[in-house]
Amino acid sequence: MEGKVVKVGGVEVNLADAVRDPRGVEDIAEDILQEMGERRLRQWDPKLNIFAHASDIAEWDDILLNKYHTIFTSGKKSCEACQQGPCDLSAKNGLCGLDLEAHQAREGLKEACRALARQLTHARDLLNYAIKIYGKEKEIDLGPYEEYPMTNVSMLCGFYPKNLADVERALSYAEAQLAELLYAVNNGNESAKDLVEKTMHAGSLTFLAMEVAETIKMCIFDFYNAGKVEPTEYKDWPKMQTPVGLGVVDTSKPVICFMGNDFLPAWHAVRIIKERGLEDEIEVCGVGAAGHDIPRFYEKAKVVTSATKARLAIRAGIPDVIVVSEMCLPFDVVEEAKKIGAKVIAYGYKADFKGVEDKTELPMEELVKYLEENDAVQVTIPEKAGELAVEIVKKAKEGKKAALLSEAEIKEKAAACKACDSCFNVCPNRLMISRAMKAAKEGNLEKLSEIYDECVFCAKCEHVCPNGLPIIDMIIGASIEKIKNDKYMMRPGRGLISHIEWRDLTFGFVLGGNGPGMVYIIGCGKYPGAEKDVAEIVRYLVDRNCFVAVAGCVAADAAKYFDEEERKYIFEKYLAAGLLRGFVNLGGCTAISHIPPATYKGTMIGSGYTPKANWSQIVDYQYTRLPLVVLIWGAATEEMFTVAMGFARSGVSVVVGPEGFKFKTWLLGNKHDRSKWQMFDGITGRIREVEPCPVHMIIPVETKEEAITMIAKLFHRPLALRDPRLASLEAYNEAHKNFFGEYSDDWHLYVRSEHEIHVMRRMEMLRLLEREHGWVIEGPRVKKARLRDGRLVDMRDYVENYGIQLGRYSTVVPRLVIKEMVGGAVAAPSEEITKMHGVPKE
Amino acid sequence: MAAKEPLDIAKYLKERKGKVLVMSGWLCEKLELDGRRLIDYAVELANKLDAAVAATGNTVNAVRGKVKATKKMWAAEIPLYLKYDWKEPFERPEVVVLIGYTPDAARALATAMAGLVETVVLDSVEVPEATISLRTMTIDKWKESLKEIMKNLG
Repeated sequence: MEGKVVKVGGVEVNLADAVRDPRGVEDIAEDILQEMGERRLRQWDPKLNIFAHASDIAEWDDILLNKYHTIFTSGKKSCEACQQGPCDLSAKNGLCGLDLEAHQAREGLKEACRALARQLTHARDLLNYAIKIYGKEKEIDLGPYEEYPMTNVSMLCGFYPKNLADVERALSYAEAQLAELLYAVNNGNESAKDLVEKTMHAGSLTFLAMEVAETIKMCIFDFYNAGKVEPTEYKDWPKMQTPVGLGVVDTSKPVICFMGNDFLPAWHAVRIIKERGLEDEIEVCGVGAAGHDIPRFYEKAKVVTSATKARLAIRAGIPDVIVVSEMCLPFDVVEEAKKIGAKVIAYGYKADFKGVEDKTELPMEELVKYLEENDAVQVTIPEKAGELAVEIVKKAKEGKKAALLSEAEIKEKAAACKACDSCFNVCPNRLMISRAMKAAKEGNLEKLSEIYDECVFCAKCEHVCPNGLPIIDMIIGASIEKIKNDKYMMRPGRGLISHIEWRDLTFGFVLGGNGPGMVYIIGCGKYPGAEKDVAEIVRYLVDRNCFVAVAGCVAADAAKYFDEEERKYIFEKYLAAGLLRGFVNLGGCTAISHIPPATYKGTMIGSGYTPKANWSQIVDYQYTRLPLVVLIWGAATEEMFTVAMGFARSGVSVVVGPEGFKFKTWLLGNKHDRSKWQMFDGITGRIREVEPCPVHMIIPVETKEEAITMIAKLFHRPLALRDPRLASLEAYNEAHKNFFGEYSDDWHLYVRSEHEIHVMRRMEMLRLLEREHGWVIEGPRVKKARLRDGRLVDMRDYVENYGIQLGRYSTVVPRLVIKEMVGGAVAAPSEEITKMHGVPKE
Repeated sequence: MAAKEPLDIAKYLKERKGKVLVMSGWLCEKLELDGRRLIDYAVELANKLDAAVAATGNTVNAVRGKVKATKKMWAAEIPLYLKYDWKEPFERPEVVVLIGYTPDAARALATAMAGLVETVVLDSVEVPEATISLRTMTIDKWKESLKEIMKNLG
């Protein structure tokens, strides 16, 4: 296709060569090329993915999916996607040609589309509301400490939104992409690989949708936002002001509890509470996403628990009024609320509950009267939903029923248990409920109370109990003291990681320093063990110089640690900044969207590449250099699967907790297959063998010890410099040895010099290299090392043939091998590096 | 797949003695069936079948020194290695026995290993994705079934 020719300095670029179809996006493309500049354009041919379809990012996706194997876990073998079906795919392809593997991949795409739809409608609701109030010209201003605004948008669309009209353009693009992905869910006979690429695309689009919501929250509704705060204040900002837990709500006061994804009714309820001076009279708390949003604009808000455990909050009798919007883990809130006599306000068009009528049009007085006489009402205007909550809450309190079972009642009900173990067999955590019932029957409630610590309150047990026992109520009734004492404090979400912090992180984790890596923990609070596991993971990692950030429901669980010795909660124990040994809370679920941009910032600061529709280059840099891992500990929802796929596409490895075995796709690397672990010398194009790292992109693990160890292993990056290599190797060796009593079978693959082994462990490891791997060691020095092909060579040959020379530009993308040396822009290896590691053969 | 009686499972495994790998999952350490931990059943099973144990989760510490061969492994990696490159210190198995995994994890692992090896799940929940599994049963019957399998392995 003939395209417009753009002149950048002395270089001419035909837009048709840089963009698949430049029509309609010439202005964006030209802007990006000018930003890239002459020198870069001489070095590489640009490929811009402006308003990217899934296949526009195939250059990168293909590299990823050639390196990592997709393991599908859906056992479904019959396809019913079209009218021709069902087709049994176990023996041969379907009528349309679809094979079994592609069918399994499609199951993943289906989930991802559902998750994306949820996030897109949430973002659309917020955007429409913001436009309604402020107009499309309302400026997007994330503050002076956010230099790269909305990079999830820019990575896919090619521009930074300046106002709500720009945001709408980006969101409309994502909505159209969802339609395209949905088509692929039900049509065609694409390959499994194409469908996995589309699933990853859904992940990238989910970040975009979350980013739109998050940006509106910060720019329009003044949520806490680190972009507007002096970086010198970060270390203790936001303040430790948010109480967390079931025991923190003062139930002697009227309690409004917000559940679901939408904060708008809460925002208006808080506005009214403040206007009327009711801050000390009404308790405002939240569960799940809304729970984490409210403390970002209301300092008196409280977080009760994660979305998964919303049922627990109700059964424990906490709310008098529940305002519920669409939920990531839906359940019948109205039926649950009836059990304690709480009133339900279902907010929004998506909060449809059976038998709940939409009475939005009634005047407030009649609306209050209606809700007094009924259990629930649907209201679609946030101002009205918020006002109704405030108006009704005092009266609602009067109608509340006693929530908790007495000891005698528990004992009586336990006697009805027939020990059929239907509950045990559906329990995701394999809790032996019948054994606890037996003890309870005899008057010992201790075992039921022990179950409380590990129960996720999914209520599957009640659902299958042939005797209809209120098992959850019995567990709660046996744990009243635990509920009362469930009291912690946390910092509310702070939004983004500033580029200022990244300048520091770069020194701590990339250029030098002794930080093994950065970990972002997200998830839905659905763990196989006690929620305290999350806090333990955080402590372990931060104590070893990692930077840890949390986002989503997991933040409330991470908060559940109090250091008796220091008399500090976990959030005040560590610096609240993006630094080594820093621990920050980004915010609710939509704040997950800050994580990819945080990684892009690392790349932009290190390389100066543009994050506008320049996917391969940005992701190649961070994938090969930045020691960054995402842990999804409560990997329960479709959203978590989808964002995991999105992170993988962004070059970020993901470790998922035990629930992650349910993920429809795992992306695993085979460390034994040397052909997969190669890079291009960025200057010569020569192919070099590198360490198998990061060895996996999405892997489920079973225990917190496995999670920590795998995180440490995934910190390894082929272009890491020496100090970060030492720090990540030590983290891996320490964890593996401590938790499993032995070193791993692959640690030696990450050693390229004795200086990369921690001094405290060096002699022990050198002996192991000698004894188990046949290396030649002299004193504290490696004399000869064994290459992966079995050859024993001196160190000069070793580093020349294995791994990348420290500091040398290299890439996994063939296009990004430098085509022309420009004005000494790419320096030859320094004398010091040459002396230490030899020079390439060329 | 067919859910089988303990006796049939014992017979099936006995016929494949020496070709079996036992995978012990994290629940092996957590679950105790009236005084006996699941990990003890896994160890006994491995010894009776002359099998190595791929100890996943944290189970390697409880298995080390009690069976002919064991190693700390990662459950999700096992299907991958079976598919592409088996370089473990014990022979590539023909049958993998899963014990100590949640039903969801067992289903996923059995699906991922389908066509590569035969899979046997010794849980109290039937796993249709496996080649063979026990039927869904109570904890007491599960304990009895495991005992019966061990007894009939000789």
